[in-house]
Amino acid sequence: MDSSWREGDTGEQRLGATSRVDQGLEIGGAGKRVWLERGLGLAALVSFVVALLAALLYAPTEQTMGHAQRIFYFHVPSAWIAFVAFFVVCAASILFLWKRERKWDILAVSSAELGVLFASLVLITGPLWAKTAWGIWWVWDARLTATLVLWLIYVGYLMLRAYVEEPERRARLSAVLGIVGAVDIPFIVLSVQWWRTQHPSLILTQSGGLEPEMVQTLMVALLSFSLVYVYLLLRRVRLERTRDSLEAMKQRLDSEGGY
Amino acid sequence: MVYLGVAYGIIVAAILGYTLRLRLNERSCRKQMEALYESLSDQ
Repeated sequence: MDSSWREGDTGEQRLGATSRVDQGLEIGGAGKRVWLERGLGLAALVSFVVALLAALLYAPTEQTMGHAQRIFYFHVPSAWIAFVAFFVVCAASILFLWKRERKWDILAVSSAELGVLFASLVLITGPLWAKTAWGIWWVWDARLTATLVLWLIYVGYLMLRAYVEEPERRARLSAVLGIVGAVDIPFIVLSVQWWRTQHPSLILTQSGGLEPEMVQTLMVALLSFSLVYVYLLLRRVRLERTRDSLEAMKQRLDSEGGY
Repeated sequence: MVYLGVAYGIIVAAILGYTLRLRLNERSCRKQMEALYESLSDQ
């Protein structure tokens, strides 16, 4: 392995190629980007450990539900990040359809994958909390059902990307689905106000009945999950760009008949 | 307490697992690029 092969380098950089697969993204700033990623990764890790300790040791035990209530400190941030991630998919998809630049498609698919990851965590931790709070795993109320629909839409988005082979068509179709899917987000957020749902509504401005230590723990967890999301998003974007570079190299070798 | 342990365990495992997956995929891509680069250099 060549020692000059730095994390963040693309194959095209090494080859000194003039064409740029990763349009619009700074190739010269690869070193800075790697350091930014490492700093973010460290901050995400530290904040995650702090959030975990705060949720387990600092936040008081809720009287009715006991320790199971502590699931809330990671369930709510998971939901928050899932919504942010799908909003980013929507925004990046709009920009892709408008500008037709690959970088927006990369951002959309990267954020969609993370959105599905965090939405999965919401759908797993929610029933674990509900079993203790309500005595049942699941109810088909507006918020829970709409969240499941959102998850299914973006799982469909990832499946669409996996099955459509032609890159331009894949990007265009998935951009449309990415935009349409995000329509479900305000529906989920406002569902507890529009309908009588079993899911509790959390209103932090009125403290929502939470102790100050509980609110502080939730805030630390929200910060931690936000850092984890940004860190993983940067890494996922870089992976997609590396795949693009690899594909470009393969095509170049194919065209030269050397591979 | 069991549900709390399961929930936290799944969250930690999912985030660490996804991070590991990204690292492995990127390493795999880089190795393939290295091999292609070598074959280009040989030409």
